[in-house]
Amino acid sequence: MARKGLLRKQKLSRRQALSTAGKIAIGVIASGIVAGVAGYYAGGGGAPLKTTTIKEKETVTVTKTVTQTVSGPTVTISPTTTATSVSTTPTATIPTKVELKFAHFYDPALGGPFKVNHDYLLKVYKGFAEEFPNISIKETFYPWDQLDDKMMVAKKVGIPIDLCMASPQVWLKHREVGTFKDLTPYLKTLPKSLIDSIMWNPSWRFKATYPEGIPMNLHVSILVWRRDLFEEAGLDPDVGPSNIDDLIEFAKKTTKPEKGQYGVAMTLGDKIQNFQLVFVPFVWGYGGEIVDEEGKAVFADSPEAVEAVKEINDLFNKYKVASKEESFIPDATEVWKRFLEGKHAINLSYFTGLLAWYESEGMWKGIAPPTEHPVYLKARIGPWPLPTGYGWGHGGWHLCIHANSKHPDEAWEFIKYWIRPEVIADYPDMGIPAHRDLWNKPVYQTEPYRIMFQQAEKVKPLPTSKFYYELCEQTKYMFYEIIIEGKPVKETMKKYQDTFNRKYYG
Amino acid sequence: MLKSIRSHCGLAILLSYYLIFIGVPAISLFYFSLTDITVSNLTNPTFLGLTNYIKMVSEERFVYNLLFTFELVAYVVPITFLMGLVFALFLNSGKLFLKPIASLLLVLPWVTPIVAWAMSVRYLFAPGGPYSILLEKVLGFPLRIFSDPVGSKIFLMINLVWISAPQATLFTISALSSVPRSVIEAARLDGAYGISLFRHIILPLIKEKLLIVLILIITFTIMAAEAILAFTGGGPGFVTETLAVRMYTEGRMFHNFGYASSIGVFLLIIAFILGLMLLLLAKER
Repeated sequence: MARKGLLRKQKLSRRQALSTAGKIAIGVIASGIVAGVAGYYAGGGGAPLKTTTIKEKETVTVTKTVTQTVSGPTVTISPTTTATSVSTTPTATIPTKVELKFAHFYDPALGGPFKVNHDYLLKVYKGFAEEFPNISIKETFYPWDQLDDKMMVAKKVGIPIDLCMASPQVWLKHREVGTFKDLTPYLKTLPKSLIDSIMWNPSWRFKATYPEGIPMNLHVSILVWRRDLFEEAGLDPDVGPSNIDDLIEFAKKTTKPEKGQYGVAMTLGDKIQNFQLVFVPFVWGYGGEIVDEEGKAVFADSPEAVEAVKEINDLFNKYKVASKEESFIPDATEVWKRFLEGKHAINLSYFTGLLAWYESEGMWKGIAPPTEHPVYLKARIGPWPLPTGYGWGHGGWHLCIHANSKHPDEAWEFIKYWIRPEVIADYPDMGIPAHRDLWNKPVYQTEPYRIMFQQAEKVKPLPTSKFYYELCEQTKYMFYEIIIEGKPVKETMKKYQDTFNRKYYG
Repeated sequence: MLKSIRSHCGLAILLSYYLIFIGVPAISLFYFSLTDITVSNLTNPTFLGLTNYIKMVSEERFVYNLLFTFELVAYVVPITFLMGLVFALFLNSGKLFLKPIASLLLVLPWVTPIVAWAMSVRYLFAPGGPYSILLEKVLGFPLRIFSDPVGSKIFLMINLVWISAPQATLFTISALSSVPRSVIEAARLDGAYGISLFRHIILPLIKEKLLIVLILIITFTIMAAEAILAFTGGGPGFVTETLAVRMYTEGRMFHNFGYASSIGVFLLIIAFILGLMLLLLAKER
């Protein structure tokens, strides 16, 4: 009997123990979820989104002689270049079939400008495959704002990638990581005329990305306005603002809050584009400084930079020609779309990389791709209307050989093929040609390109800092406090400058 | 004997799982938080001691992130919990017309990809969007979700409740279905109906299970980085930025893995304390 009672007691205590164990397990699992998610976010990179392989069926051993003949008024690349002379190791004889892994962001599934550019890439692959049937390309798509990060992580964890596109803004970080191969031995084999033509590009001119990346395009800030809204407001649709007073006056006339229509719009809510497309061109437009040579923020110590931010603030809070709600949308693409919907008369966050997209949306015709007879339809482009005229600019996307590449010579063959003037000429994301010699082509002798070339002469490359994205984030919060919370301009700029410098430069 | 071996095997599996998938990552996370690990020194980080923690707590933004995380928990958790309970009671009543359709509609937010959903909701509430126009007509003012701190917080909270309510409902339904029918019938015979039946008979029987639901909602809310990034991007400014979003930004965007890990450890401690408090509370009762 006593034993039976003991057993019952044991059973009860076991039940209690199990119950307690269950509770602990719940607590542990809940904490585990947190730890797992925390580890995931804090840890390495995720898997790529999607891959596509473009392969040639034929597998042959070839000895290839590459002949590059360039049409156009001034560019002539050496008439015959043998592939063996291009690299340090012979590449003309490629004994086995090689697959190049190419990481970029032109995912056709995203449609719009992404698909347009991917269609062009398919043509490039096809042309390349005709010359190099034993080299195939395997594509991997990443979101554009994650591509650089993924390439750095790939370098560190040993993911094999041969070719990739990269942004010049984060080059200092790429250098620290050693993401790319040094292209010096390859570049030595290129004709001087071609090197000179590319060297003009701001990224190379200022030695920002030389010699690890080849600039593939040139993006500069330009102004764009809606001709139809100008006309409605009694303004000449073909005359844009040429200075800040004009800008304010035109914006006032085209602001109709009752219709949800505003004179100007900016991409201030976007974590990167608030900096690239608003802060930088405004500060440089006023002649201010953003970072010093080390990459430390100095904008609050620059009276011109403070003046520029005051002017941005005035557009919202004094002249009331910009909507806070419209300009603080977190995604820049949505702000650009609102312009297409006719909600903003002047877009103050536009750059040449968007020309093809706006053309496909009926804003103009014959500008991207360029033709000899461009026509402005609903919108028009003009120079950046700030005192110094300086906007931002950089070599757009760069093409690089990844440090983990097992086939650098074959990757270089692909780069050489793509940068041939006749191949790169049709690149939709080009904005302005990366090769200055191409500017002499008849299709670029038009009014829109004259404006863009003039603008390009005045650009400076985007500020380079090892903590580029961190800097972009700081200005996003700075704009929020100044424009939405109404905090004083200079003090707030100083606060964010100090926060950035203290955190990243001790 | 056999039962004892089975129990020990079960415990061993649970402990192994904990060690491999939770223990080791948690220890790594703690170790990383004491270093300056970033993408450029992944293999040879420098040991910093508590520097990351000191930097973290001395940051104005961190304090704000922490307060907003608590604010989110304070609003989202009770509303979600109550909604889950009410929906579960309705769906469990057994006499609901269109019950299958109602169940399907309820599960829909759970199975929809958050980012895709966020894009469409953002469009609806964006300036000029259909809901935005409608709200302006009904309320007389628009709900500004991108530039108004209060508007963006309300927008985010509504959406977080909407996403987590189905989970709460499903778990609560499973808790309700564990109550024996005989007990309910006996209670009814004794004259217990409606609220009194729920309060005095059902609630005491499912109390512990509801506690699990509560823990899960709290965990979801604290860790809801993806949803917040998709709905508001943490903005305007960093008004809707929680600690989880901050950890994501520092770790995935800036590659400051050491600093992100210190936020992760902090979150882990918060979740552990909250879970423990709830368990102790249940034990006391």
